[in-house]
Amino acid sequence: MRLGTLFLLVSLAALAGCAEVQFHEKERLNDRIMSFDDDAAGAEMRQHMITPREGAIGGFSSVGAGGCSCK
Amino acid sequence: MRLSVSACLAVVLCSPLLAQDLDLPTREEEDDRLSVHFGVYDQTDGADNLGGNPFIDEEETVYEAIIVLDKKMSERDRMNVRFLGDLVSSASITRETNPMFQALQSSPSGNEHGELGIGWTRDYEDYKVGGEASLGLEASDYQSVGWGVNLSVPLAGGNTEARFKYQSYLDFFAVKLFNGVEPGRDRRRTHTFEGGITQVLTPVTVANLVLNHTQQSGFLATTWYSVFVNGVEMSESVPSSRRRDSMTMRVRQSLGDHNAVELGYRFYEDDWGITSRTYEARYFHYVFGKKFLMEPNYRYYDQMGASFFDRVFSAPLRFMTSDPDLGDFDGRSFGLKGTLIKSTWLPGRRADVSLSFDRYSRSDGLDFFWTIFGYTVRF
Repeated sequence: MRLGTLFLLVSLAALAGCAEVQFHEKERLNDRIMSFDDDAAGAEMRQHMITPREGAIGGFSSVGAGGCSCK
Repeated sequence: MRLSVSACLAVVLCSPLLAQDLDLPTREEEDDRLSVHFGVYDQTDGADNLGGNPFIDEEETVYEAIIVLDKKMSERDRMNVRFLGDLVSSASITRETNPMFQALQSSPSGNEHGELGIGWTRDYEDYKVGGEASLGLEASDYQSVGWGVNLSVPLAGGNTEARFKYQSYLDFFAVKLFNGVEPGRDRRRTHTFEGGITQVLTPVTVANLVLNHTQQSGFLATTWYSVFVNGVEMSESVPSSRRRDSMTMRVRQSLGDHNAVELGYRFYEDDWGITSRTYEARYFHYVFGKKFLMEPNYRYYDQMGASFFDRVFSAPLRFMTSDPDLGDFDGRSFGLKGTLIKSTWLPGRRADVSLSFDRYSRSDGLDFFWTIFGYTVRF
């Protein structure tokens, strides 16, 4: 798994180097449906519903461990 | 999966050297906004209440509200005030072996939980830095103090954004055991380190990678949970520390002016022996021009349980739990969210109204659904 993580990180770094998206090409990227944070509060509530019922945390929203009387 | 800190740093350090310098278009989220979300969560316990842990009734209903005010205070400063409240009902566990004692599924102390947080972000030219603090309460039986700092660095003029976050919680609570005994108070510490990169790949593709490392210590068991050892009921026992790591990757692809798709994957591992994989797919589709947004989603979660999990035990062990959330299971959820965008007939200059419904089916019978109503006004 460590190798897999490293591979992904290196791949992303390589992709970053390839990115040459110009300002005028970002019309679609500026649409709300292309933003990962468009409804952060809604995403947080969604993760509040899911996270206490699973062993895993992290990644899909700001919800993590601690700060509640659950696990 | 231990985080490769050096690799993460390498990505961050190399990205600005590799990519182009461009300006970001201004996004709507730079406006002031007030978001109000109400959610209802309802969990069933399988046939004859035998889902999950067969010894307890795990039916539960939770009502939750989150109110967030995000306001621009100056050219550089933004303030964020957040309130979260939970009301739990139908959550009492009627225990087969001890029906006179009822504990609450969601909380060791009560059925009302409140949390208030305040955050501040300062926007420098080359980066944003912020801090936040929070206080959580459940009457006198539970208190939580949290604080965190975060750093956001746009790189390559907007083609790359790196984010780092540190969050710490110190939770104090009264320990209430399954048999009603209250031996006193205890505490739990949580430290979370998170690093992420959002990367524009093409004019229609953006990717997000998040690495999360969490370290917990202290009283980590659910205080009122128990296990059965040769028919004798005992408190669950778990290690006093827990390392938790996850890696999440999401890719969002525009399919045209009116639709997009997101695919997500998360790998999670901790030193209690739990490993899990999460797969998410989400589709975005505008209808009626761009006045209404539909978002169907599908999620699959597969978990291998903790090394000390079992439904029953034949001999006492150092660590034992029958908590179904720490066991082996997989789950599938389907959901649909609809958002009415920038309604002019509602109060406020620009307001979005959303309603979502999701159903989650678990292989161990602990099925649940939730619905969320959201109202966001920008001003």
